[in-house]
Amino acid sequence: MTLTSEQLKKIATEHIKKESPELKDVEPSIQEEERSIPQKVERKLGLEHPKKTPTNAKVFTFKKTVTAEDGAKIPIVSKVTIDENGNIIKSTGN
Amino acid sequence: MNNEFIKPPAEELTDLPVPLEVAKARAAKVADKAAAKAKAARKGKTVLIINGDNDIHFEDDQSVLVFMSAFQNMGDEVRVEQAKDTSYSTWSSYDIVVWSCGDDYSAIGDVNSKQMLIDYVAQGGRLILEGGNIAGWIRETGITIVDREFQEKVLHAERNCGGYSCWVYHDVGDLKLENTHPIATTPNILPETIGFTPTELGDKSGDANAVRILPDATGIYNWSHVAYEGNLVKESIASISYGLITYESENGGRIVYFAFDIDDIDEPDIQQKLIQNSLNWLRTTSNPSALIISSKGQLIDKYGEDAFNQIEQKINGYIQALSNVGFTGYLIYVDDENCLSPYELNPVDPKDATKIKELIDDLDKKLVPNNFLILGGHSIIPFHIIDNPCGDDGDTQVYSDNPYTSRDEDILIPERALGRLPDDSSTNASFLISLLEAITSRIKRAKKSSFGISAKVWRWASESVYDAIKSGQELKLSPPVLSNNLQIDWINDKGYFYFNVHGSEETPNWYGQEGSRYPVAFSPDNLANANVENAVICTEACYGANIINKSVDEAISLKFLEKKAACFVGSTKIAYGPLSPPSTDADLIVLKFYEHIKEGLTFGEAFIRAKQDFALETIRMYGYLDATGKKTLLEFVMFADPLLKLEEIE
Repeated sequence: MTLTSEQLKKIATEHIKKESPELKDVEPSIQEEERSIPQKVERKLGLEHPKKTPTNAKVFTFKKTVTAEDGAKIPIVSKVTIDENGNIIKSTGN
Repeated sequence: MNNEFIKPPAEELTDLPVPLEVAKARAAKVADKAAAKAKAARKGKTVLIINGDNDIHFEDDQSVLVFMSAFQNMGDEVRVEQAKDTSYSTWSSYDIVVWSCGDDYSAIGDVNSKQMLIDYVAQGGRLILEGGNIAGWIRETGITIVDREFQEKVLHAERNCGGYSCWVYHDVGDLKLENTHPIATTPNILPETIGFTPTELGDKSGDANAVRILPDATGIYNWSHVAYEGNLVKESIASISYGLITYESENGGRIVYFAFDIDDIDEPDIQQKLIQNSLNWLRTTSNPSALIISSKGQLIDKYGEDAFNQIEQKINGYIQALSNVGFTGYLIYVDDENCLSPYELNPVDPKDATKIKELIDDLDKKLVPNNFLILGGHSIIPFHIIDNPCGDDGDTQVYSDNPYTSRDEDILIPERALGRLPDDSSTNASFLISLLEAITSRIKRAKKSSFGISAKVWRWASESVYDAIKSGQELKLSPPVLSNNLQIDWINDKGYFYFNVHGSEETPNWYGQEGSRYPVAFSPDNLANANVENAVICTEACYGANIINKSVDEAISLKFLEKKAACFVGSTKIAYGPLSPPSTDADLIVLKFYEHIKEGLTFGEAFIRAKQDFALETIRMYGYLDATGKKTLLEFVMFADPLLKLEEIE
């Protein structure tokens, strides 16, 4: 079942509240990402070109700058990738 | 023109013949001259393909055509001879000899052919041997001394298996990569599983053999299964029964033995790539070489003529050290005509990374080096500056050496073993000179003990990576471990270092994390009195390998190198990783690098394999290479001589 952008954003935000609470109040940016592999990469890695048309996923990026104990500014970024059905494909951060 | 005479006047002639010995000697000289001319004309990239497929299944005899196509596509001159017609005396005129039997069941049955091949490899020849039943046939029929010598010296097949003659199986699955080897990676990365479909199935097929090999040979690909009469052979036997075998002799001879009919590999593209890789290995490893790339103009501008002369002296010392271990080092200043004119190439702008990459591509084709070393930091030979695949994470661009490692326009998957020896922002050349002195010493021994530190929030993810190198010391967590309470004996005399901490573009420090607390976990000062000589360091800290406009004391990476660490791997920009296992992004690339280092690969080989494995595993996990995966591939760089490796000591 395809979810709306708002529904997907809610899933991402709930996930971040649990996993990276330092980012819980951050409004994420949203990008579309095609789930495909560049052809040159396929060739180099010896992969077969998939027969199915690639689908898209939404990537929610939460970022802020924090201050370390020595005064340095450190970027804190987390990305949550969700498919159209609301499944979290990947969660990664720095 | 006067056409009056059709022969000389009679009064000028005698009836005495030229003395026989004079006539013979002259004829011999003429023949030698012709042979020498022909040999000179053929010298270089010439291949002799001997068609040894004499069976009756003509419709399946495609192997010679496959080889011809592959070599001609590579620009090689090819000659094809039938096995019954070839003359051993001509073989030395060729760069490579291919003996192709295809699916011939009674392959290389005659004693003359065997003896020619025995003599050829004994003389240091470079041979591709192909056939689905060469080992099998000799096992069935070989009883003479020549047969035994052929098995040992050409096939490198084990004869004695616990008191009986080793069985050679025919009923096999797909080719499966068992051991890392340039034939599987260079210049084309071959799949771990190569689809193989024999024309004829069963225990009497001439399409494939599963061969047990002598210890002096290397099995590259074995078989996904080996069977007999429809039942699987024991895994302990199948795993040591190979389809693709190589041998390297002390006198420079090389053999690549395809114990299968090459045209039964499913993908024609893979057939071609396998042949190309085999040819590359046969040609290049007989004279391994390294390309050292720098800029004369940029070095002189930064350091002055006197210091440049000192740097060159150290480079020459390094090249001599390479020569002492059998490598040829080629020093190339990208902006110096004297360096480049012998290769009919023109100098390029040393500030133009794209032009430098094109020059490296051209030099690669001419010199076919095994390894590439960039000498200098961004102000000498620039990193490529690439738009951030992640777009909006705070980095607009990524500094990368990846394009230099690729042979085409793709910038994600490396194909060359490449490292960089950076300099720092100072106009004093002493740091760069010290690094050149360090790599002139070719043995890098360090204890296998380890140090690892992780931001507390990433503990479980970090443990998964640290396990690859853990020896004697648990992973430290920050907090409570901080830069100002870190004990020197934790880092002294360790061979392996792992950092999974935060970093900043502004400061040299790395930071831990617990909740919203970000204490300083490690700083360059922690290395001031430490002995980290020959250590291998991997950091996942953001900006961990950022050296742009940094002095030695402003970058932990440069500090480690100043303290004679052998290898530093890190990210030039914001790096990503998971909160918990499984390893992804930076965690995964570091894990793969350490796994390959532990296998004993050189730093350069380990780094290529790490990135290739990373890409494959990311695709396996997610079905595609996402933006953070692409950024990870681009931003991780290696500061090391790619030819070196770590030798562990207790």
